[in-house]
Amino acid sequence: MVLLLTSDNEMFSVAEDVIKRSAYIKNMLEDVGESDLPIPLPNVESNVLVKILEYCEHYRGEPLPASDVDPAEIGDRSLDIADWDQKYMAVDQEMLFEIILAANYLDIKSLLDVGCKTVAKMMKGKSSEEIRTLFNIANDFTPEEEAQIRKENAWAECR
Amino acid sequence: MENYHEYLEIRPDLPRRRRDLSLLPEMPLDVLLEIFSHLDPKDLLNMSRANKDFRRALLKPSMMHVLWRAKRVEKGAPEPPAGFSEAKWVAFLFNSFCYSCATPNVRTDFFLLKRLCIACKKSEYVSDENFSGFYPNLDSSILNFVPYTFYPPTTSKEEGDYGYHWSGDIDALCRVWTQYEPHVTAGLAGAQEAWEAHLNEQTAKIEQMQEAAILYKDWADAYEDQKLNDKNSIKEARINLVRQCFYELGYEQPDIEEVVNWDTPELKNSTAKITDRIWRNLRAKLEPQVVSAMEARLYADTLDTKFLRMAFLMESWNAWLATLNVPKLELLKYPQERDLWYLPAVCAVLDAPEDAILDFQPVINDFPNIAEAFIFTKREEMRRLVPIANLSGRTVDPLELATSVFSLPETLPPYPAQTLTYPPVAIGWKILSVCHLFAYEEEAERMGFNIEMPVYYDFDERLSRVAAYLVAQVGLDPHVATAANMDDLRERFICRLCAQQHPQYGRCLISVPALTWRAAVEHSRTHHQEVGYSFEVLRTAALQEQVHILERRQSDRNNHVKQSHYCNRCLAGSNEGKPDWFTKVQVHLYTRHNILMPVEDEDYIFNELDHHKVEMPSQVLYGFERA
Repeated sequence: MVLLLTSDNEMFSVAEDVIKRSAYIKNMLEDVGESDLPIPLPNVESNVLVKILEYCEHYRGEPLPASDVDPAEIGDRSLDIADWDQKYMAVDQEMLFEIILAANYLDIKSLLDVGCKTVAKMMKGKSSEEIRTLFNIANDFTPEEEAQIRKENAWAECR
Repeated sequence: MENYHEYLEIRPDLPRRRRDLSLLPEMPLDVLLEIFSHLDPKDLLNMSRANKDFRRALLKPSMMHVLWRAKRVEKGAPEPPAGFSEAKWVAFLFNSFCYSCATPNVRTDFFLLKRLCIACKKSEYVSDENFSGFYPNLDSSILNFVPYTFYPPTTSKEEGDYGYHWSGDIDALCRVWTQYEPHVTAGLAGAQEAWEAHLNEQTAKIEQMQEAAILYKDWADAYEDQKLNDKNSIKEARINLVRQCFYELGYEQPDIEEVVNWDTPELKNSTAKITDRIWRNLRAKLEPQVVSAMEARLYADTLDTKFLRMAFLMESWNAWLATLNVPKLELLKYPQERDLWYLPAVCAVLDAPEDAILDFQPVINDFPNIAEAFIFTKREEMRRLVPIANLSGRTVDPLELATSVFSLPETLPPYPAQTLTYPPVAIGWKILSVCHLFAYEEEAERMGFNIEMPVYYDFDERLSRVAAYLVAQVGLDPHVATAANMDDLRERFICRLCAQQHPQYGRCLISVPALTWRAAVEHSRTHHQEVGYSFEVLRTAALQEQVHILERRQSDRNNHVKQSHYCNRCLAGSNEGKPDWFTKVQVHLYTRHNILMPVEDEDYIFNELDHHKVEMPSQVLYGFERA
């Protein structure tokens, strides 16, 4: 069993084969070896870790993804998300944000991928106005700035 | 781990804003790249216009080098031309706003490297023709050094004959030239060389732009095609998936394909993936249509079988009719194909199971009874339509009463126009028996077929009251007087309502129609549907004589101009079974049947369906006093 200590000081005892989906923990276990000391997760709160562990538990026993994928490698990738993952990601935006950050921190590539796809799906095909509504953000451009951006003149400075 | 606990204890509880997706721009770069990698250039451009945080995140130098370039490469777009960053180039290729006024949905002109709306092109395009209007103090040779396009302001699809330049480009070049001009004019050393070098450079730039524009345009056209193909592929995949779902539900291919196809509105305008939820929605909308398609197909199959059987029966029926030696008057009453279709004896054969071994002979043998029963049943059913209140103990035949007035049903199908074939008002069995009205069968109509179903005239209570009034006017009993009695009286009626509409007051002499009683009933239906009726019997002997003379003339004329007579001695008659001119029927009767003085209803018959057309009233001058 592996002990995990969250940022809100909650201790979790987790089976090693469950939490090894996190490359971060896996590497740490490999580096440190067996230990009774909990692994501190100062960037993960307990409620988020619960959610993360739910994911790891679901995929327990499944082969881990290859770790040599270049994050900068960008291509036209499908936005298909498995049914279970879709249901898993049916959370509020705050939790979705935290899951993505935690997945990134814990280096759980498949979960990060699902989280990013979920956000991308939310944004795909949306107009600027719809994106503002979706993310609850205000339009802080002046009308002149907005017109400039539309006319692409504002891109001129981007070299 | 004590340190960690200490750290947690001493760590200040920073007030933090809700960590929702509005903080997306603050996510680590690799996460942002991961998210953006799934988006199209258009999505990223929309995002860059959402707010300043998002814009900044997208315009970070790291994004410029990775994201925008990757998006361009991903779409196979050419390298950006000089003066365009990767982001600006992607925005140029995938946005649709006018470069000048930001109007959306504008096509790109790669020759000018600008996207301009029609209004801006019209107002700011400069050509040789309008150059002096734009720049009265400038030599038009400057146009040789400014980018140009052959696409005129009105279209971005077909090239024109002239080159067009963007006034902004001319203005920009003017500003450059003003820097050279003083030096060249002053004859400074090297100024002329620099000026010529600039001109050469500008010429080369224009040539390069023209060459590159062709490449850009080819890519843009191919990209549009690809987008369309991709969209169609997705649509096709959606269609196939929905079809597959219906196959799994047990429906058959023709029914599914009838409903689920490229024109299905529910599938036409979307490219969303068919999820369980979407399938449930689609199923709720499409399954009833598939069921309807299946029902219509099965119905059509049944109809095909029935038509085949009916065709065989009709062949036998027509052959049997040809053997008959009955007067035409009787033959016209015989059931027609649509009547036969619904007769129980025929239905039993038509509706038999598809694999049943059919024996048509009993039905064929029964044709005489079928015809007789049809006529009898029709007469009985029409008799039953006459209200009991119209009858008395002395009524001989309800259907022959002068008050038994029938009208065409209002629900007859508009096409074919039966109102042209059949009289609007029918009185007496003689006319009713030869009318074979039909409506379209409702169930068949629902399935998309027009199957003619026999219907009867409606009993017209209002016109029956008009007829009763006319009968009483001539001193007969409406419960007893027959249509034949009324015909025999040969009375003519003047419509008082029409006379009252005459604009003159006091005593006047007006021209009014002298109506037969049948024409008076029809007149009431045509002209005074809502306002009641009032007729006066034409009693003046002189007027009666005048009317008789006019009607005789009319009748003679009708005999020569209307094809309204049949030979009653043979089936074919003078016109292959169709009505003919009276004179031709006369000749036929003499040459084929050796009848020199033919008698109506014995040797020849008048086509009752034309009765209302030839019974044209004669106009008489009628003395009338209006208060």
